Amino acid sequence: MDSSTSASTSTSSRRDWLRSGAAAIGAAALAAPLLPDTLEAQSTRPPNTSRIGGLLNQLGQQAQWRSTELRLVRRITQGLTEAEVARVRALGYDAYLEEQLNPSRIDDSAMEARVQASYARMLALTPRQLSDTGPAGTHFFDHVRPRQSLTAERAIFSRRQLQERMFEFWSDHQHVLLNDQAFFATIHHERIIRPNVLGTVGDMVRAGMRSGSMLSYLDQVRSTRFGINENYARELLELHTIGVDGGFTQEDVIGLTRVLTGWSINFSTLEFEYKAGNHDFSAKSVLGLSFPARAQATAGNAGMDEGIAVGEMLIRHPSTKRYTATKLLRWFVTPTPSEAQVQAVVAAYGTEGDVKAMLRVVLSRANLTKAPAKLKRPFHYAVSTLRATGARVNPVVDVRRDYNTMSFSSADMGHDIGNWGTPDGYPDRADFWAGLIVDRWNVVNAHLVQVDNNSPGRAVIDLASFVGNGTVDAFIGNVRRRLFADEMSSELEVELRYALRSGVTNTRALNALRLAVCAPEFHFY
Amino acid sequence: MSTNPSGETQSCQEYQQLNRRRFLEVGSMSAAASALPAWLPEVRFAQSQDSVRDIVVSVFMRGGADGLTLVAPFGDPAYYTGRPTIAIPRPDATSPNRGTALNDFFMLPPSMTSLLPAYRAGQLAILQATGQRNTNSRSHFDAERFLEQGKPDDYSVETGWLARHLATSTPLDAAAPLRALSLTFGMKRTLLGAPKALPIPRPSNFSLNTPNELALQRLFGGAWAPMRNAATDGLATVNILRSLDFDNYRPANGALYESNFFAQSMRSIAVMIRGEIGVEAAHVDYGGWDTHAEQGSIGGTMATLMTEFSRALAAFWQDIMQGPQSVRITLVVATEFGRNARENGTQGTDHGRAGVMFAMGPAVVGGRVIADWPGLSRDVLEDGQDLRVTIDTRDVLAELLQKRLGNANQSIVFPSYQPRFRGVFR
Repeated sequence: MDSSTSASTSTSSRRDWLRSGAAAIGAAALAAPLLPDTLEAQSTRPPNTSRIGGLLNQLGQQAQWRSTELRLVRRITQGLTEAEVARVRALGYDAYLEEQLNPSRIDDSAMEARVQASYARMLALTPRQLSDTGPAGTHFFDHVRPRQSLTAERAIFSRRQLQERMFEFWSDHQHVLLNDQAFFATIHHERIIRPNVLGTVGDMVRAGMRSGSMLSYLDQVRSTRFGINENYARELLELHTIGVDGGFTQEDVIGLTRVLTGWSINFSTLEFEYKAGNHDFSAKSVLGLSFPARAQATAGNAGMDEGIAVGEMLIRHPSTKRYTATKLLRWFVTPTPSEAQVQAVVAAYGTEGDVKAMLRVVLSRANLTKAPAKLKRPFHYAVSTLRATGARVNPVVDVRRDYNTMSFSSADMGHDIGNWGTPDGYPDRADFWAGLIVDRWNVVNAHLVQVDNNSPGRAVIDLASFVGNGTVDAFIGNVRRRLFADEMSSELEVELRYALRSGVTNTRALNALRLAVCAPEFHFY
Repeated sequence: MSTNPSGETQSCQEYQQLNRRRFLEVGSMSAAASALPAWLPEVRFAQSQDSVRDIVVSVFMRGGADGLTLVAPFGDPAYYTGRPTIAIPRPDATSPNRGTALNDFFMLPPSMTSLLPAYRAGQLAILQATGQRNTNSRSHFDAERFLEQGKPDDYSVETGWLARHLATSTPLDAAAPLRALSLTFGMKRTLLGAPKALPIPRPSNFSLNTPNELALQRLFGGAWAPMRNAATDGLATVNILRSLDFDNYRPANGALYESNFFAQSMRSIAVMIRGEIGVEAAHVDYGGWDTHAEQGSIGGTMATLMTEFSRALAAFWQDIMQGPQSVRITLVVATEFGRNARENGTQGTDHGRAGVMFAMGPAVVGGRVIADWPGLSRDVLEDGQDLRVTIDTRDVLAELLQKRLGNANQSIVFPSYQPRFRGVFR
């Protein structure tokens, strides 16, 4: 299998690369998936008319899920591990959730050491310094690759797992195309998104409106009173705040475009800068908020108050509350949240959009106990595989040539970190991803579950830790405990026993481990 | 059930007129059942042996492709007054960037001229001022969704129009593991819910590398239906694609596919069609058309896109639709919306309404630009900014469905719509 998305991109032009990424553009982020009708029908249909093959339908994926605590771990981590399971059992549901909601209480020094070792220099640079890193044409290797690698590495190794899940959520919500933005995406992720992932919607919106990367990605920096461009204004309404059904019209888009003229960047420092001279001071209105005509200013922040006022209005807008609540429920609970579920989360929004308060409601026992199993997206699947198997990943030596398992494996399954082609971010819909099963099997076998590989960038499993004393029971017990927290189906156990019917050898154990990872139930969480 | 005078067709009719409940109970169609909407009245199956059935290729230009550049209306003076920096020079201009006239009103820009042979051979039809009538959405995501699902302004539809065609027609090849594929990373809505359909971004490279194949078949045999189908169909597809020699495929008639992803996708489709493996529908995306700034219709971004795009389609036409080895096939191109009549402040255009559609193939009544041209002067523009939609995309797709796909289930594939055929297809 040609797993060298990396190799092909290193020789093709940036435009070609962009184009092939842009070819993966999809439909609305909020689309409910194909599944629910079928699912409901399956759950009420008598067994002898259910799907061929038995009861392991999507509901059945969780037939063996008994523990509510484990459901929580599956949903708020990028993949369960023995350590996380032990933690939730020690603390209990509420205290474990509370700990994950307050990441500063979690000692993450090992992760911080990893970040320091590989990324500290990059993270300390200013936008201009980042932009100037390396000669022109190397931004792909200087910025795109490391950003993907860091994103994956944090998801795999950080103990602040809910923070990483929320980073993934928000970086899809306020998505910038990594291939297009390169160094700027680093600023966007580190300074705009990360500090606010467990903060407030208000802070996230305000930060986003001052993100040089976002304003650059969506042409805002070029939209001035001399010539407007509505790209950013539209997505600010449609994607970042009130949503496509939030109640805005084309006139509102134009109005907001004119409100936002002047919101730009300083082209020397590449920091956010408001330019009064670019602002359109004529009369305008957006969603009922009217601004009278004023004299043209050319200095200071005159006119910036309009954008600030619209931002505040959007943060408090009922549609923003609803849109955010619905998206959070879809991310953590179910593709079809009920009106009651949405309203309960909206009630926790407050005026600023308190993310922690909303998450306590989203992640209630009641919600998670009845939540249908969710299909992992490829990134999540890759990360959860590395986490559950306890793989170590060899450092990359040559960023141009080495296969960086952490990030490339996801790309090879269709999920190229940060490179969804449109501002709506990667879809979180099962019917979008479900077809790429063969690709997942191939990547597991070629990259994610490997032994004895000292090549740079490669993942390495400690197979002996699964083999244990060499008995079939020991191996299966290890798989059951480490991959599934002791909630594994009998169907899979039967297959594993069959695969090891002639005894446990290293080869058979490796194949059996791959089988467990490839099995349907490991694709769900 | 009335008796047909010829007698022998009665059982055919009974078979064809399945209601939804019976449809759900027919085991082999269980995957297809999920493609059918709850409001399904009655399905009339298109039988492969007694109706015309072309292979259909659906191409989607993502981002809202600017129809006023793709097929520029040089005959409308407002085209030039509204686009002082990005308009294509007239066919009779001295500039080397001038367009090539298709008739006395429309022209192709230089980077689209690869399509001229197909056009002049009468196998490429262009439809202008085409778009989505029953929605005025300028949101990419909504507009794409509405077009691909064949029904505007409805968020309850979970399947694509092409998927519903496949679900309401018997396979061309009953044994085919794959009837349709989307050459994308993830299933596009056009084919969402289709039976025997998979997203396969690189058909030339679709292989399997596991010793656990049989165990996985068993485990996935009891899995959630979309994954089960993906696994089962995926395994069968790997086997059948393995039998095709993608690497050594020689296009007919000297056609040359460039190395970009879109052209290679078209090439892969050609290989699969020639291989007669039962694929009867393919969907391809071509993105990047959202030209808000520095559109680059001449020598810039959009010119590059148009060059690649037209060359890839021309190669496909030359390879598959030409000469004695031509195949019964029709290709359609659509985009979610066109772009503003006037350029914006950054030498680009923002989201508009009507755009362009293309139809290509031996059965297309081509060599013409079909348009009910509403005009570009401000007083006739929608919201004072956009070319009005005078031909609905469903008018074209519904005609394709009936005349080239032999499928009479209009009300299922394009619900709540009375199409007006434009004579695009024979």
